[in-house]
Amino acid sequence: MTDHPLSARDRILGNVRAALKATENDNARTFMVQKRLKLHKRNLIPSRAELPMESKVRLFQTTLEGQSASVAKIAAADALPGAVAQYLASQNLEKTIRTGDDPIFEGLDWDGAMITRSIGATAGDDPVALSMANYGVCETGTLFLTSGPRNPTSLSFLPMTHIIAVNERDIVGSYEEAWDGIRLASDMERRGASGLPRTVNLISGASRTGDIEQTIILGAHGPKNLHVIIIGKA
Amino acid sequence: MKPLSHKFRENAGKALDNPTLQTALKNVPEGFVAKRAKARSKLPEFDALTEQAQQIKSHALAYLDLYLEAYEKQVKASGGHVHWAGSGTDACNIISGICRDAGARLVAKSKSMVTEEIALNAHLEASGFEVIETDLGEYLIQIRGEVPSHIIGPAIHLTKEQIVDDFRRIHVDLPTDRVLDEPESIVNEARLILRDKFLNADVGITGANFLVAETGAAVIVTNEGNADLVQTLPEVHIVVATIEKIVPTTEDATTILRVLARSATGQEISTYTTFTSGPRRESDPDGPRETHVILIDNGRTELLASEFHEVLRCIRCGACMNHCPVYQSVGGHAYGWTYPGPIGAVLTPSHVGIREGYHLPHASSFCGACEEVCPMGIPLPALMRRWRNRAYGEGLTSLRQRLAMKTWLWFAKRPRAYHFATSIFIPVFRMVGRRERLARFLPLPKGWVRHRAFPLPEGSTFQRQWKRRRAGEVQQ
Amino acid sequence: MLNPAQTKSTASVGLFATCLVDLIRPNVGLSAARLLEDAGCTVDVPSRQSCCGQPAYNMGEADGARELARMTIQSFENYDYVVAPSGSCAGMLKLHYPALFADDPVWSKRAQAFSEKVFELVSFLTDVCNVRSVDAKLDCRATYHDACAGLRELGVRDQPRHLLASVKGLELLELKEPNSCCGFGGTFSVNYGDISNAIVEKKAADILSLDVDLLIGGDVGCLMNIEGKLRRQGQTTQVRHVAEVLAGQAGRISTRRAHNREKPA
Repeated sequence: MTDHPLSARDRILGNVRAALKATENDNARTFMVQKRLKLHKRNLIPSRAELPMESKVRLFQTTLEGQSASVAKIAAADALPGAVAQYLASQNLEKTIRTGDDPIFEGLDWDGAMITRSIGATAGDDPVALSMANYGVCETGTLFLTSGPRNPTSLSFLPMTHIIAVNERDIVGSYEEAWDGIRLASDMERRGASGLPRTVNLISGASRTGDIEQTIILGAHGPKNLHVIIIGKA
Repeated sequence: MKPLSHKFRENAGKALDNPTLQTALKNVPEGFVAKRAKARSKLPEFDALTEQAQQIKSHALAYLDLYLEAYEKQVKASGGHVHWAGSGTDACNIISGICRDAGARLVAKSKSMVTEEIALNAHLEASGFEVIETDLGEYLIQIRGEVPSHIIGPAIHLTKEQIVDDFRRIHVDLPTDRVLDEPESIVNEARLILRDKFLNADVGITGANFLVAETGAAVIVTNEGNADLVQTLPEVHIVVATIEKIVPTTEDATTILRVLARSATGQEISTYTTFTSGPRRESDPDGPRETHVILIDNGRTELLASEFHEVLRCIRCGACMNHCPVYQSVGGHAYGWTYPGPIGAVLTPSHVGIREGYHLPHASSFCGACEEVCPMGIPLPALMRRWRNRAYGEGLTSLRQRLAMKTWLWFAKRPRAYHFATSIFIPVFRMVGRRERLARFLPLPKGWVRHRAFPLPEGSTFQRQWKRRRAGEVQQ
Repeated sequence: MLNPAQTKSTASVGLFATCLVDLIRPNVGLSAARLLEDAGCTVDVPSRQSCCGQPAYNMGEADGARELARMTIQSFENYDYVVAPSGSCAGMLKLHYPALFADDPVWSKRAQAFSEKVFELVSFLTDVCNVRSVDAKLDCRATYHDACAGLRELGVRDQPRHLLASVKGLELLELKEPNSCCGFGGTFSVNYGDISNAIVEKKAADILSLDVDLLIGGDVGCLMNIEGKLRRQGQTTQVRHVAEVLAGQAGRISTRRAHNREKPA
């Protein structure tokens, strides 16, 4: 019988334990790690995120605008097709958009706004996409989007123009608040072993590069135009 | 990557004499350094956050075996594959195997320093795959046949003019009247060229900024969005990461993210931060059908056991090199291996040996700017000094330097002999200092006198003057 | 002027002169002693001192550095305070001596106790002796370079500026990058002379862009480096240690530039 060679996995983990002078079945260590993973406690959260709702929305908007995005506000979801049409007209873009199957988009009067809307992921031939963000985080003007049929990930990166709608009530102070919300929603839908959707995208402005002499140029690979529409009442 | 660190002195000299490079390097202090300072001042909690970030990484390293196991379990639960690679070669073989099994032809990559470290591109190309770098900076150096000169700005050593020339040289099908003289037109051109590659790539390879043990997610940060195209469009996605990228929880990753971009580019957050785990799920309309994570050791467990273990906290923000006067003067290529600047001065010898990497920890004025700006509190000068101790212990320090030091120490340890010797030498040095033409007849350090006037001693030593003063006081 | 240090029994200070001050700029040592005495300290300069050992320590010759450290600790540990007119050498004594003896239980304790007595000159004057102003005069335009070790290891930044503000006639301007390294780094400036030169050239350019008469700093090593560069470039900007300026021992600073500026062309 030949010796069973250690797998790379066992060798690496063995070397880690040797370096740490740890043993394989140390209950105290295991308990420590399990507890930390289970509690996933928050660390320090910058105080700039602790604001009354109105100021949160304002901070969210100004921060995003500083990150080369444009922001519009509408009173209610009904006004979304009109706001999208208005933005597209201002950019001289055709009124054709690609979206996921988020229920909020259903029942809106897209025809009335002369917008042709198609649903699904994109293969790169859609100039404009509209997504619905789960959360807007005011501390850095960041939108949280999760993957799934409501929100195909490719829509956030392939089109030249990306419009993201977010409910005002979903504008929160810190990333941690957004994570809590996403975890809760994921639990209810039982999405994945991790308790999270496959992909969570944090988007904080238009695509950019500084690779040429540190000059910031927009639209490196992702959208050159990011337009955010805040919906006052869903 | 074949190390060229032994040629540091020579290559640094060439870098200093290269006016184009010197022009490009001016962008480092004017860009990264100024922007980081601004970002830090805008966030009152910045320093406190760096402390927490350090604690998180230290904790993760202290329980690394368990977090790796937890991470692996979560990746598998979400349908991904996990591979373990002891060495860079093992990792390369695993990756080319995955590409082969996928029947791949074209492999699209986003920026990843570990793939530079293990020379993945060369391996994949030798295995018959076409490899395309999609980060603009990486693409620029790929078409030049170069390696990155900076861990977050790989093409920081290039000027706009050089980039335009390369574009014209490589893309010969471009109309000659195509205006390419502004960064914007170059970016647009690159977007067009690379878009096609994204859509046709069979395998996408990304690195990872963090691996989250709690969820099995890989976290990838970019400004261009290229990593997201790489990990969304191809049928197969491979995450290549070294084992120290593990953090316990989503909250922990979030805390470190707050200091990462601010330290790196001075942004509050990078444009795109993506947490992703496993292949597309049943109802997902897009995303890869197959995902793999390659967990690479390649020297990390040795580092963990060594006096250099603190370097494993590094999150590759690049702040140390941005603030390093040596890096700012010679750029990244002179360092001769994957990681330049102060972090490279500590990491490189552990990979290529202190004989090959001798110069890197020695070519530092120990000004401490790197340690000051390191968000992970890595004591870079102290770690460089440990390499110097090893080099000295192994007899790698030149005989001339060792003799000079031994002589100095002999006198310094014997104050009487020291004070006697100085009373003889000082007048000689004074004479030389007054008449610089005489300096060449003395064994003065060339590295000094080539560029600087030799210091002129004022007169007799302080010790003598002090004694005289004291004697005078007593007489009074 | 009555200082808190004087109100107590007088503090005894062992002045660690540093080798560069001893050999090249003794006036800095004399100025430091005067400042300490003015602040009410009893100053002594033990003759059993030479080099702090930093060059050996940084070369990787830790054993040699330890021998010098033992000698220095023995010579100085009986004073109330140990003061050096250099952030770099004070940092070595204060922070790196304990590190050198980390594995030696006996000397580790001694190095730690010694460490607590060690101060860089200017921060000692302000932070321990509560000196708020000096009685000195120097008519010129000057700027201040923050030497790296004092700044980053010991937090010396505002203290010299506060005291310099009390020097009559002195106009202190800030460099664009006061806290960037001058490229000295001890043996680094010799072993990697070309790189060191590239760094000091930037420092010199920053100084020259201010059109000052005088550069002030807290470390003779850095000052020697910057002065060497300025002289080689044929510049006339003067260079002094902060102790010389504060003690009124800076000599005459040629203000040719200033006069030229005032004169109509």
